[in-house]
Amino acid sequence: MANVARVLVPTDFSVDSLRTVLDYLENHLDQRVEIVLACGYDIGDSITGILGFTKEDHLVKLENDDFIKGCEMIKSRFKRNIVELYADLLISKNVRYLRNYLKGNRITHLVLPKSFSFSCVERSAFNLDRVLREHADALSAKVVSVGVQIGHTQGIDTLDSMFFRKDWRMSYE
Amino acid sequence: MRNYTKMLYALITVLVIYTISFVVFIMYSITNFAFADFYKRLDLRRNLAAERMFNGKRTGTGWSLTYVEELNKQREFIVEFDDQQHIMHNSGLDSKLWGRVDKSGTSNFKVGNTFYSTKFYLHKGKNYIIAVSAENYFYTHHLSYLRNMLIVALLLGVLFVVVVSLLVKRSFIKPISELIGEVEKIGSENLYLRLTVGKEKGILHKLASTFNQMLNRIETSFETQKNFISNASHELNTPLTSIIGIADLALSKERSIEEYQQLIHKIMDAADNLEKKTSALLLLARTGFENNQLLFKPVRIDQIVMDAEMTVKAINEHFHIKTDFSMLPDDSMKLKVNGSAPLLQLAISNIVSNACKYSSNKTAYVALGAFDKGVLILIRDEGIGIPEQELSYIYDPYFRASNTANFLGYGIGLPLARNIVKMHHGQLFVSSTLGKGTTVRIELPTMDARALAKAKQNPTA
Repeated sequence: MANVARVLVPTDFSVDSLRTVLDYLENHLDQRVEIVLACGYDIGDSITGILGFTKEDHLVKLENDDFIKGCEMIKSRFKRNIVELYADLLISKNVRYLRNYLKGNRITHLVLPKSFSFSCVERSAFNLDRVLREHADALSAKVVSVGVQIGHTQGIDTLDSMFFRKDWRMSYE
Repeated sequence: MRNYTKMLYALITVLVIYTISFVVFIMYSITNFAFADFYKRLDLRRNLAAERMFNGKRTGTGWSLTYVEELNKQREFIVEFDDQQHIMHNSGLDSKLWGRVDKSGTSNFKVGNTFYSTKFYLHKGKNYIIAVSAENYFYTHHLSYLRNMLIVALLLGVLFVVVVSLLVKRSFIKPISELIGEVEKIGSENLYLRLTVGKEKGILHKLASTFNQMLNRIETSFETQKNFISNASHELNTPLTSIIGIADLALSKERSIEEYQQLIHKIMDAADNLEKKTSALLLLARTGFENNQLLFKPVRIDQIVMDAEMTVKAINEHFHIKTDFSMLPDDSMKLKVNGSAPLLQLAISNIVSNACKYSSNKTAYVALGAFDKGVLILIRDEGIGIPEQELSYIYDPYFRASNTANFLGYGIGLPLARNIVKMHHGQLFVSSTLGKGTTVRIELPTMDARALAKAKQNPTA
């Protein structure tokens, strides 16, 4: 497990945001990784909200079928590289919380796209990419930038953005 | 249905008979009990009367006897009679009742609402009958009230049973009647219609689902034949023209052996494609899918996609296809689908050729990926798109969108493709933006390792 990198990728639970993962994996084919797809989420301060709902309940609400299918496709495609891939919620923008979360989860890399246009419909969700960029210097994990632009793909089908990302991958028969 | 109604009426009759029997039993039991109880009370008063008449005083049979309440219209009689049972003295007993009196023991009987209790006494060598009569207040008032109440309850009970039975009958029959109504609407001209499958998992749900599956098979069979007829001329004409063109070119002048070989190879390829296409279409047109399960076997979906592309290119050389296999899984097992290769090829080639046909650049983009329990085929174009308000009609056979007037077509390809996908327990989704393009998403369930091993052991299944 020593050579397994633990990577945190910000997401808004759109299929488009998975392009960051794809781009990273395609450029690190020799590496084994554990990927955490993380989104900022304000769970509020009501006692019922804190005691009545678990993190899994919120995740079920946030993850749609296409996002799950996208994750499964990535796992199928990079079976040799991916040790684990799961979604998680970060519940605060506080730098100490972020630092402790990364430390506690042994995150070694933060993978951030070139630009991230956050588009989660859930009111409680917040853009983790921006928060991570703001505090990047104070965090222990190494920042890896990838060239994709998240939220700019105008696909007709939501899964469109997972394919035809690079012309050189296509056949021109 | 007639048997069902008969059974229901028989059940109602049984319930009504049971209710009536129950009421009659209650009435009979209470009346019997009331009579027996009243006769006991009359017997006590008859004994007291006898004591008083024969001894002229109340004896020590207990103080309570002194204070026995008088019954309603209570009367006491004494009748002296001889050994031939002729009345000698009568203190008021109706002589018509003399025949009903037991002359040597006790007797109880009633006339109308008046109850009689009599007993034979031998006193000082003379024969006497002491009788007491009274009206049974409980019988005349309480029991009649009970009788009326039971009759009302019986009528209400019968009404309740009938109403509830009819409501139950209606609620049972309603979904069946709805199904019958929906089935009656389906004909050869609108085979695309389906029965409404409710959310409740029951026998009717299963019946509707099974019927819909049968309709899928029938519709696919119909549409395949129509598709074959309508497209055969066009689809077969192109490779035939190509073969004739190559042959003409070969015969136009003297050539070297290598050139002839090259040209013959080209003719072979075109003929091979033509043969594949016609055999697949003819197979579909001939089989009618009665035993479609027998044709199902493990197939690799990436191979089918590539074959479909080759077929499309063979049909029209102006069509371009760009494939993206970058998301193909590491494990090839995840691409195994239990299905019919010719059918799946036909479905995919239909959609791909549509994507090319309706695009100005004549290009279709085909992508393939695998998720946990299935494969995903994405076919995209940058063509004319489908108007949003017409998206719900695209699966209707012969329906063509309003913006397709300048394109040749029959409106059969997409419904046929969707039916083939449905036969493989998959799903087909179409998303489109007018003027921007269309994306067709096909999801097909993959075989699990166990089913695959079973299929290998039993290849005919």
